[in-house]
Formats: sequence, structure tokens, C-alpha cells
Amino acid sequence: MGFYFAQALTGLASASSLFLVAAGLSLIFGVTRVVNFAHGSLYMIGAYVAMDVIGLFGKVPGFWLALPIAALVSAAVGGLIEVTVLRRIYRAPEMFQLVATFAIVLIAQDVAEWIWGVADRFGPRAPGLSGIVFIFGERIPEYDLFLIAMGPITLFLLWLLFARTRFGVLVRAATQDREMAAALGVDQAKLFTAVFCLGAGLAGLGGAMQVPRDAVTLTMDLEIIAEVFVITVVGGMGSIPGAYLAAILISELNAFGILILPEITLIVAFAAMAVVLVIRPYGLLGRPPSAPEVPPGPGIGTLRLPARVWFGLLVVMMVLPFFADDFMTVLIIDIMILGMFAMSLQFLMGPGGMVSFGHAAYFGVGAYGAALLVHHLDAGMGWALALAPVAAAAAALFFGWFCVRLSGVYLAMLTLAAAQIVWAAATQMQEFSGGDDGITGVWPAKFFNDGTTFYYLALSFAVIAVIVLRQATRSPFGRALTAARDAPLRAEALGINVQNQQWMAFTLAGTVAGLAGGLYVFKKGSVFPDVLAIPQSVDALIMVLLGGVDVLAGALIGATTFVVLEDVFNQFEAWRSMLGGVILLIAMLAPGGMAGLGTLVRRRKTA
Amino acid sequence: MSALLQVNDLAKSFGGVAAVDGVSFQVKAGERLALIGPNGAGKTTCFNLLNGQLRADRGSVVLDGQDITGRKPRQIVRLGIGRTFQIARSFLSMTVTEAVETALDAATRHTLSFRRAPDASVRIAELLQQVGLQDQADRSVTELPSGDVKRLDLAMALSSSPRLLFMDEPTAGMAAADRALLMDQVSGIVERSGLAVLFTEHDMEAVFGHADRVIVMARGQLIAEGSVDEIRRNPEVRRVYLGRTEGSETDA
Repeated sequence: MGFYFAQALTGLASASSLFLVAAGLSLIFGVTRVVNFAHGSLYMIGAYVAMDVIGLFGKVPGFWLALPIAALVSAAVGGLIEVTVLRRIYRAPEMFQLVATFAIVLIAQDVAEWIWGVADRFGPRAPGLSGIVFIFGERIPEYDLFLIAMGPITLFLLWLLFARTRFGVLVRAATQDREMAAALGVDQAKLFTAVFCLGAGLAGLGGAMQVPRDAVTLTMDLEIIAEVFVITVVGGMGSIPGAYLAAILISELNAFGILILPEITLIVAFAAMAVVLVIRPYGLLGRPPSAPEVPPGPGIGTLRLPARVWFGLLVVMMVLPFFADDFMTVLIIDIMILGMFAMSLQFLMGPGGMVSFGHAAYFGVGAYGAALLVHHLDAGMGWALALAPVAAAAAALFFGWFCVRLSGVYLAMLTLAAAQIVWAAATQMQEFSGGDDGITGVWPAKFFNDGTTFYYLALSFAVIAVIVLRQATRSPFGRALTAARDAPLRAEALGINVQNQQWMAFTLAGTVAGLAGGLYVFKKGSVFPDVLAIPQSVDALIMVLLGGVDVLAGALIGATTFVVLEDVFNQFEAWRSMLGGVILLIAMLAPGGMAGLGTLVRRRKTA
Repeated sequence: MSALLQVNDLAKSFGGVAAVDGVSFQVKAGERLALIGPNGAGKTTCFNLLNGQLRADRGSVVLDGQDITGRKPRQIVRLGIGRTFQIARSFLSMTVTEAVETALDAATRHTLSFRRAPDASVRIAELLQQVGLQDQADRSVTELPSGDVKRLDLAMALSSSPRLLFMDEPTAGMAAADRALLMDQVSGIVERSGLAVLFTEHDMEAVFGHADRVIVMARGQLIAEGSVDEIRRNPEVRRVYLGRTEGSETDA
């Protein structure tokens, strides 16, 4: 009995930090409609600043000064981000906003490394709360009790702010109806900046509060963001009380889940999220979004290059190895593999209208599927390459079933959570998947060992991917999918099963990503959990963004640009920031992507 | 004539407000039945209940002897009921031809096919001709004036060759001459194909000129039913409805 009580208290204590970060994210989303990927960075900055303050002033009064100072610094950084970047992209589609905030994550990682170094830091216990109390005979850290109290206190203070102040009224008005708030003469620019500062400050405070409990590291930004996404989605985007409920629910599930499934606690959280979302698609306390989606224009997402351009490209690709050196050949193989990955995402996002933040799951399942078959069963390359798309299809079929029940950012965040599950499984199932050490020694069959033959293998796979995705876009299947995206109620009233159409599209996109993943593992000879992680998913989004989402070929242009940029920037220490900078520039200056700049594309005429 | 559609005691409330409150009526095969009533009378809610977009709190809908209460919109369309929307949200990324082709694919259940569907150009041309869009076939839907978007919506609804068509304010947002033309086209389709139509309409000329029978809704309930002449003379209808229409006509 006492043990379970203690476990429940641990859960409540973990909930508080999560709640603060999630409340900030939810608040920002409610008013600005931006899903802020960089929220984890603000949390990380809060934690590092708290460490610095403690170092400067000593444990007393350092720790108690650290909490407000960390909140203020994060709020200031948040304000800076809002004014310099987000303000310019509020009207852009969700994907651009997300990728832009991810660019900030990249830059923040470099800056944090430059200021604070790579070594993990361990904070002191909180002065005055370093003791232990006994409840039902179990040892409970005093600091946990402080954390447990911080949740409801923050909730109450936020409630006061929203219920009793003019600022609060404006925030609520803007959350419920942006246009109406604007029509009433609310100064949107100031309100958005203020809300962003408040949300960022909450994240910073959450980071500082974690210092006595956890190590401060450069990876804590992305570690927390997935969990916070789950909480905001479960609680309902834009709802602060919902965030609190969900933080408690998920933290308690984690606290008890660890007793049942110590290896993969995220699965418990995912299962809870899936159940909540199937019953209440907009979360526990959320409501359907009021703002209409950006209406699609002519051909959006379904433009196609004429077949002869593809043939021309194929001819060039076929003769290229005769002119390229080894280094070039390898680079082009990379481009083809990532190009297939990006094209599958373009299909999902363009004709399908579904933005995935977790497409790496299917690329990674393909890669792991192939590698595991070779590693455990000593299978040949042919079997492994055949299994890769099948395994990815199965995963996409499973997760897709849940995802297509939602739309917009809810769908996107659920895809991210799904990818995190697979990632967690790969890192934690040490015996089976090799954990962080991955699986090595997965080399291609002798015949393909030579760079040139592998090049032609990759090329033939890429050709298959192009044919399948191009045909899927132009077929009745793709047309009905696009109809479901453009006007779901209309499509449903014509007899189109919208969810089923999207489910099949999700599965197809996953399958092609898995095919790319299978090739990837033989090209590299190894696979690590990185291929399933958030940055890998975002890489695909960046490629689609670089090339433009309107046309399948855009993904190839994007993949080419991405691989070349990465190759160039890799020589510099701050390559992540440089990549982030380029992404920000593209998101702000050329929202149509590079394919939108060219005149390669023409509108297909109906036969 | 026998009843094609039998609606019994249909009801739906939103947060305690009864939008549709115990409505019963019939649509006979091949007739044009107008459903009229002031704004907020519950007409669109009624349509959304009939085509399965909303779930009724109580009551039943029977199509040709088959109970279709609680079916989903995509199931109902397959049983032979088409529908157009008051605010037509069409497939904005497509051309007119592509939109109708998609509707035909849905009607023939080809939406999971990766191969090109059998050539439907004759059928598409015929559908576009019926609603007067033949000259707009290659235009992008985004370029269409709002009246033509409603025509396209109608062509898509007709692509499943329904026995019964629900039209929610088919002429809303059109100029007077255009309204008359569209209603004439609809009447032509009804006469040629024996299609039954249930439509709501604010334009009294369209109602009195093209309906075989009229039912009147106010505050969620049916208050009158009869021929055009009977409804025109009905004092209660004049009180709750016609008085206000005069006002909204001058707005338009």
C-alpha cells in the first residue's frame, strides 16, 4: 500500500514540470496556432540558467533566485524568437511553422553547447527541501512535495490571470476566436509577443524546477518535447486545465507503467493517448479548432512533372556513374535514398493533406526490419530488402489507424508520439535491437558491394518509388484522397470513406519510406536508433519544404539540396545552426519551396 | 404515388435547444418537395439528419421500406440519395472535369483503384450539360463564380444517379436570372429521370414556380403542408414566414 502511494506521489511530482512546459506550449498554440517545437529548447535554457545562477550565488540563496531568473531569461529568449521569426510566419501553413521552430531548436542546441559545453551537469538538492519525509513508511523526498504543490499553485495563478485581468480576457478571446479578437481592436502583435513570453517563461521555470531531480543535458530539449506533445494533445490544445489533467494522467501512467513494462513505458502513455483520442478526438478538455484551414489552390499537392522530364532525368541518372567519382556516387546514392523517403512524405502531405512529424518511424522500421532479419536469422540481402517495406507497412497500418481519426496538428503530434514509441522500443530493447549500440555489420551481398552496382540497385528502387507514388497521385485513389483533403464532408457525402482513404495513403507512404530504410541500412552497413528519432523525421519535412510540397519531384530537389548542404556544412563546427539558418530563410522568403520558383511544372491537362 | 422517403418524428437538440423537434413527412417518388421556413427553423439540421451527417436523438428515416436511420453519409449516398450543400465547399485543387470524375469514381466505388478508371468523358459531358457547365469543363474550381460552384455541386450529387436528391438552398448567392435558369434545369432533370427532389429555398419564386408540394418548418417543427396554393393562402405560414421573407428579399 505504502509503496503504491509513494509511486503515485512520484508521478505527481513529475507531472508538475511537464504541466508547466505543456501549459506554455498549449497557451502559445491557443493564441498563435503555432506548434512550438522550440519549447523544449526554452525548457533546456531554463535549466542551464538555473545551474548558472546556483553557481554564481551558491546553493542559498542561489536556488531560490534561480527559479524566477530562469523563467525571466527563457521568457526573454521566447520574446526574441517571436519577434524575429514567428511573427513573419503566422500565416504560413503548419508545416512551415513547425520546421521553422525546429530550425530554432538546431540553433539553440549549438548556442547552448557553445555557452555551457557538452558535459552533463548535476544540480544540488534544493536548500531547505533536501530532506526525506516518511509517509506510510515510505521515504518521500521533501522536494517532491514542493513539486506536487507547484502544479496546482501554477494552475491557480494562471486561472487568476485569465479570469481576473484584462490581459487574460484578451488571451481567452484570441484563443476562442482570432478574427473576432482582431475585429475588436486587440493589438495582435503585442498580444502574441506577450503570450509567447509567458509560455516561454513557464517552460523556463519548468526547466529550473527539474534541476534538483535530473541531470541538465543538451538532449533534454527533444526528450521533453515528445512527452509534452502527448500531454497537450491528450489534454486538448489550448486548454490549460486540460494540460494539468493530462500531465497527471500521463505521469501516473508512467509511474505505474514502469512497474509493469519497465522497458517501454512510452507504450503505456501511447495507449492512453490512443484511447483518449478515439473517444475525444480533440483531447480531454479541448474543442474542435474554429479557424478554417488554409484553402487549397489549383493543383496544390498534386502537380506532376511530365513523364518526359522524368525519362530525361532517368537517362542522366543511368549514365552518371560513368562520369562521377566514388565520392559523388556515394553522395548520389544518399540523395536517392533520402529522396524516396522525402517523396513518400510529400505524397502524405500533398495529395493526402496529412502532415507527419514522425515519418522516420516507417523509414526506421524498414531499416531495422532488414537489419534484424540479417542479424538474427542471417538472412540474405534479398529477403531483408523484401521485408523492409512489409514491416514498415505493418507499422503504418497500425499507427495510421489511430492517426487518421484526427486531422491537422493533432494528427501531426500523434504521428510524432508514434515515432517516439518505436524509437523508445529500439533504444530500450537492448537484447533484440542492440539498444543505443544499434546493429552493425549489415553488408550488402557480394555482387552489390561495389559502389556502382549498389548505385543501380538504389536507382531501380527510386524508379519504382517514383512510379508508384506518381501513379497513386493521378489514379482514382489519389484523386479521392485529394477530394477528402479539400472538402471532407463533401467527399463523404459522395460516398468516399475519408478515413479509410487516408489510412491507405498513410500506409502507402509508410511502405515507400520503409523501402528507402531497407536500402539505407545496406548502404551504411549499420543502423542506430537515430533513424527513428525526431531529427530524422524533421529532415524529411525540411526536404519537402526545401523542394516545395506541391509536386512529387520537389521532394527530390529538396533531398538533393539537403544532402549537398549537409555535406558542405558538416565541415564546420556550427553546421546545425547553419542548416537552421537556411531553413529559416526558406520558410520566411520562399514558402513555395524551390520547385515553386522554377517553371518546370505545368498543370496537367485532363485527357 | 407511394412514399419514397418516410420521415417519422425526427428530433435533434444542441445543448438543450431543439433544432429539429419531432418532424414527420413523406417524399413521394418523382416529386419536387420544397422545405421552407425562416432562418434558424431547422432546415439544414434536418438535411444533415437525413443524409447521416448528424445522428438523430429520436425518430426514423425510411427509404423505400428500408430503415436508414443512423447510417453514415457515404452509406446513404450508396442507397440512392444525393445531396448538395448550402455552402458548397468543393474540391478547390481540381478542375471542373476532375471534380466530377472524382464524384463518378466514388459512385462506382473506384476510390481504392490505382488504375485509371474506364473513360467517363461521355458521362462527364452529360452531367456538365445537365447543369449548364459544359463550357467551364477545363476551368479550375477556384476560378468559378459562386453560382457555378453550386452547379458543380449539383453535377457531383447527380453523378451517383440518385433516386432522391436533397438540395440545401440550391440558388443561394445567385443572381435572379441565374436562379430561374438553375431551377429550370433541375425541373428538366426531374422530368427526364423521375428523380425526386427535396429542397430548401429562400427564394419564393423558385419555390412557388418549381415545387409540386411544400412543407413549412418553424422553430424545429412542421407547421404546414400542402400544395403551393394552399401554402400561399395559409395564414399561419404568412404570419411566421412570408412576412419575414419580404424583409430578407430586400436585403438580397
